[in-house]
Amino acid sequence: MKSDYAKRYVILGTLFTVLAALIFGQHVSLLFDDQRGKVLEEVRTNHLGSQWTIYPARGLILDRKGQLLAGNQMVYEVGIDYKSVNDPQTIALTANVFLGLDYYKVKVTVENPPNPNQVYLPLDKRVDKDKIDRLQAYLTPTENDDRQVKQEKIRLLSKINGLELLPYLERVYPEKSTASNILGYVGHEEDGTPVGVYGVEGKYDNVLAGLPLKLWVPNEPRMVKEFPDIPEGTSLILTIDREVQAAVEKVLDRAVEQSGSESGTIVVLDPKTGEILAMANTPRIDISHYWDFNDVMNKKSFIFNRGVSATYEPGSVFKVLTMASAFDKGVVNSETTYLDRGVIDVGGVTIYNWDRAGHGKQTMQGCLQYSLNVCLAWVATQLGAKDFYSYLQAFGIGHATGVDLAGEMSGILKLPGDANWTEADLGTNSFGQGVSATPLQMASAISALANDGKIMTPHIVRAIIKNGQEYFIEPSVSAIPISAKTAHTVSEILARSLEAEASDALVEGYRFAGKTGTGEIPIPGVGYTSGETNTSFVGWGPIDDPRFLVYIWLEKPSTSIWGSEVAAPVFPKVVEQLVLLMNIPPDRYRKASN
Amino acid sequence: MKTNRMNSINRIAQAYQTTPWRKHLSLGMLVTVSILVVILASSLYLDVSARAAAYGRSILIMESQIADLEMINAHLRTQLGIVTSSAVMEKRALEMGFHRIEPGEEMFLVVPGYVPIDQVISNVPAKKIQTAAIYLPRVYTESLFEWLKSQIQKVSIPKQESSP
Repeated sequence: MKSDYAKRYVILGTLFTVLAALIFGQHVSLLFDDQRGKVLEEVRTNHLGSQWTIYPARGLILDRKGQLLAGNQMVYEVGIDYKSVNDPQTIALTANVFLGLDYYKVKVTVENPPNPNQVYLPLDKRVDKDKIDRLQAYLTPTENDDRQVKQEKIRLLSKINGLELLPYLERVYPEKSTASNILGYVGHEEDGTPVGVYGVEGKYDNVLAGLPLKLWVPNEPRMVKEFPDIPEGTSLILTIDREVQAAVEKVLDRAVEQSGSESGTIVVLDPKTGEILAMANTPRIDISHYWDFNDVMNKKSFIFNRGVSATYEPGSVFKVLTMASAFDKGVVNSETTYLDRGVIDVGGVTIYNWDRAGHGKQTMQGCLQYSLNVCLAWVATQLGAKDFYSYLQAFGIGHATGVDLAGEMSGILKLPGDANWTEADLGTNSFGQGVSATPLQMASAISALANDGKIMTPHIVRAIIKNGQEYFIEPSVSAIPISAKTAHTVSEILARSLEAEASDALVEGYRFAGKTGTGEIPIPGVGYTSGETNTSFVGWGPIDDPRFLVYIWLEKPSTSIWGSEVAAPVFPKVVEQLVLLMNIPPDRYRKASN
Repeated sequence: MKTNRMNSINRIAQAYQTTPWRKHLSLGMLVTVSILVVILASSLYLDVSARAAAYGRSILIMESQIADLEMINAHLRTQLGIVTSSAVMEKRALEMGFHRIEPGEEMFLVVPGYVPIDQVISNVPAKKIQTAAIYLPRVYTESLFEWLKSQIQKVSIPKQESSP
């Protein structure tokens, strides 16, 4: 009897020893088998919980009065969870009737997973919330439903098991194409991560997007902890006013159409703060549906924001900078006269006036009023290359303004000592030829004349809202190229020249300074075309207390090649809107109230 | 004295040897009491665990509801922006009989001492104030053994005398 027990104990002992040895052996084998070890580790990790990445809602973009320019709206991804599917036919029918998806395509997809291990497959990555709401309203039993209807709804609900509706936030722009060139848009990377492209969305992508939070969520309910509060992305308040922007865009659209221009740009700047009050472009796109605009975007001439990304030779508007530099240096003054013979030789190149005529003895006001290339080339030679280019650099020509918009270009300014600079450039650069700049660069440079000689850094973001607090961005001075006295003197000369000329740019009741510009277009290897021009106009005021500066550029107009005939008449139309929307009374009322 | 004590032990031992049912009874009682203690402890553990699990699920569900509500808030805020967009408001104004002011139609009045206000009035609502770190009481997460351990520690660590 005792020996029987002993035998059993031996057998049991042996079994347990073998089992222990097997377990130990398995452990040892896993230690040396990386592949299997990794698989098992993955299984263990998946069993314990899952890693969640939570993206905070992207920050809003508002205009200076708090109106929404970019927000987020709910849309759904509709997909199939293959493990839960009960009735493919009902799923396909529901997807067709309520969500507008193709019945046969859905049915085939549900019945035939791409591979046997397929767990989930999206059917449509973007379905409007309205459609989902309609489906959910249909499926939710209400108090008015009788028992049979309720049971039918419950039965239908179980039949469409496996039809997954996953909500997410999509960027939307309530003002559609208004300010689209300023805002940019939100596209998606290959892995689906949203990313800001162009404009404010591109420049402030990291700020708007906020910080995604990675969380480990355990499957064990006892280990669940409350999620930390995820702050939304920072919201931005822009310097533009949507009403002003829309009005300026409307004026520009009409001007481009009437002048037969290839494209157009208007920049409105507050010279005292550097705030961009409006920046209109043609063509524009409705950025809520940016993917529909491949045709527009693929066009050779399409630049998303011409105000900061398109450079051109500005022509005679550049004379403002040349004259201001000369006044500031003291090489000319209001009494200085020049005998214009209609031709001058600078660095071996003969320069003519726009009309190839001589205009006789002229004051500096006359030189600007009649836009005399010859006179300005003479002024530049009086200033000398060193000082001329030193002033241009101080005005910011040749380098980016630092505006907070994506895609800013810096233009080209050849300097003495550069391989491709010749002395002739001093003459041609004086009237805006052989030098290129963006409309914003030109507006920013000339704004010194409207702000006591100071250039404020141009900017589009006025304030940011972070964690419920508004932080205002203080305007900063980027350069002081000229003195306040020079700024006032040259502004006065330009205001008088507009009045003396009875220009189309005059605005009744207000006094403004301004200058037209007509720039020939260089063709590499050929030279300058005579048939196509870039027409521009810059104006600012009211002259005694400038509230805005308007820079207009119409590219290759077909009705006339002259800035005075095409761009100048656009200025009063812009101003008429600005004074209304910005509550700027005519000069006589302002002076009376002061 | 010593002899008397030995005698009484011997008597008890003899009594147990002659009546084995007493021995079995005491063993049975011991096992029963042990089982009862284990069942009691297990029941308590199960109860606490089940409640913790249920609260854990509730937290997950509420987190999900919060995420949904935040998404809906963002959506509604944008819908508000869409229905008050420039084009929609202009259309509504025109339908109501207003027309866009044309240059020359405006009238200015000189108001002595009036200073125009230029301030941002953002539609972004004041964000909720972040409260102190979210704290889940231990009672929802600790196991029975952890509770027992903490109770023992509480008893074993003497309270500090308060200074006069």
